[in-house]
Amino acid sequence: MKRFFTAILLWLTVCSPSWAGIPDKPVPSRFVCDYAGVLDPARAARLEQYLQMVSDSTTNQVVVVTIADLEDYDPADYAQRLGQKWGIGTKEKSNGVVILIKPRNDYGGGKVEIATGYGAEGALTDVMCGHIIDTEMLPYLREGLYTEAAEAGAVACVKRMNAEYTGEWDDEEEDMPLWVALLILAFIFVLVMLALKDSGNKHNRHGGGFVPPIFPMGGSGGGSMHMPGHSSFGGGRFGGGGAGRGF
Amino acid sequence: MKKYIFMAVALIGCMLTSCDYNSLVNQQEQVEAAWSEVQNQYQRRMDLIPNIVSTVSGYAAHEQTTLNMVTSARAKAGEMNLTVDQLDDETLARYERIQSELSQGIGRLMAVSEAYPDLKANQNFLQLQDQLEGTENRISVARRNFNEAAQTYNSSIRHFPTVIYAGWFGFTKKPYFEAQSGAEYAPQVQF
Repeated sequence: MKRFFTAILLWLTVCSPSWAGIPDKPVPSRFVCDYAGVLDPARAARLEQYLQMVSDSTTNQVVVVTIADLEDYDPADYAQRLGQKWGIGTKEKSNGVVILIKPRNDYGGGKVEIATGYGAEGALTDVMCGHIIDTEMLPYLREGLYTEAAEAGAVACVKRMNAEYTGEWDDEEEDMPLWVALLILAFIFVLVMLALKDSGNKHNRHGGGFVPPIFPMGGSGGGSMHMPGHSSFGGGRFGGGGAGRGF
Repeated sequence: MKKYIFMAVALIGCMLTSCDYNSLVNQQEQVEAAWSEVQNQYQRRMDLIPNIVSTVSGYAAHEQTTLNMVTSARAKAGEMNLTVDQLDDETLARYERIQSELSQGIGRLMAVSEAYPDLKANQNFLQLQDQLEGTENRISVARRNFNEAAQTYNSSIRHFPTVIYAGWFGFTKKPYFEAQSGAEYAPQVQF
């Protein structure tokens, strides 16, 4: 029987469309994948927990990936293929986002790309993605502060999808009455609290400044804290939306 | 005798289902969906062009030749609509040629705008650039998806025994997009 499954697995590997160079989906799903090794491990683990919690409470999935070498891929192409291959976001909503950071190194200049799933394109338009990169990420990236850039970019994407982030300039979507915003906030708060209660994580304390203090952050462990029933990538699809910059 | 005819009909019916007539229909529908996505994304690009042209002409009125070229290439591209039934190697090649003329025009327009610092700093222009890049990415994803759908479908209709009856029901081979070469875009000129 085991051999049978191995054969099937092998067959699937051989026959699936070739995405040479794009890493395989991590199992269990991870929201911060520092393949380039440029993020501070403790803060990356905190960011992982934050994004995990966002996924649990809102189903929106924002994934941060750093990679040392894009090989011959265009960054936008790479990010789109990765999002599609991993199936970030739910199948129904395709509400996934990939934040791809290729640090400045021997392989070439720095690149940053935000790729949006079909369902995320409404909140995170190409223009909004460009704006988030320009205002939230590039100032850090230019200084080589990759952790800060990843945190700021991820938080901005999450908030934007919760309709909390509007950027500096005005746009039409901003016309949300205050009480709606408060209602949504309260709703998210309740969901997060419920999620936390379920997870049985007793050792919470408030984390660093980059996230609103309503998200208690576990202080230790990080990567090893996957609980049963934690959300995983659900087969979201990516159509090429987003924006990118070099630095 | 009647019994034999009935059996023959039943047999053919079984053959058709087991050879996945239905799945051919599904695959054909997927090709259609992928094709309309391709056209949507090219349309999206065409919709952006008037904005880009008017923004650029506000700062770079000297570039009238390039601006005119883009506008006329857009008009030409706007005239060509292909339904999935009209798709064959020849019509798709024509469609590609017209769209790539437009790509070249846009590439040249973006290259000349490098020479105008005020334009490059213009918020509206930056946003249009993001939208244009996102649209180009969507176009290449849509083309890739179309090719994948067409490939699945094409290989199905050429399998035995589907190949025998595929023609009777009007399942014809669909063409592919050429792999997108960098040469399609005008080289970026740095000033």
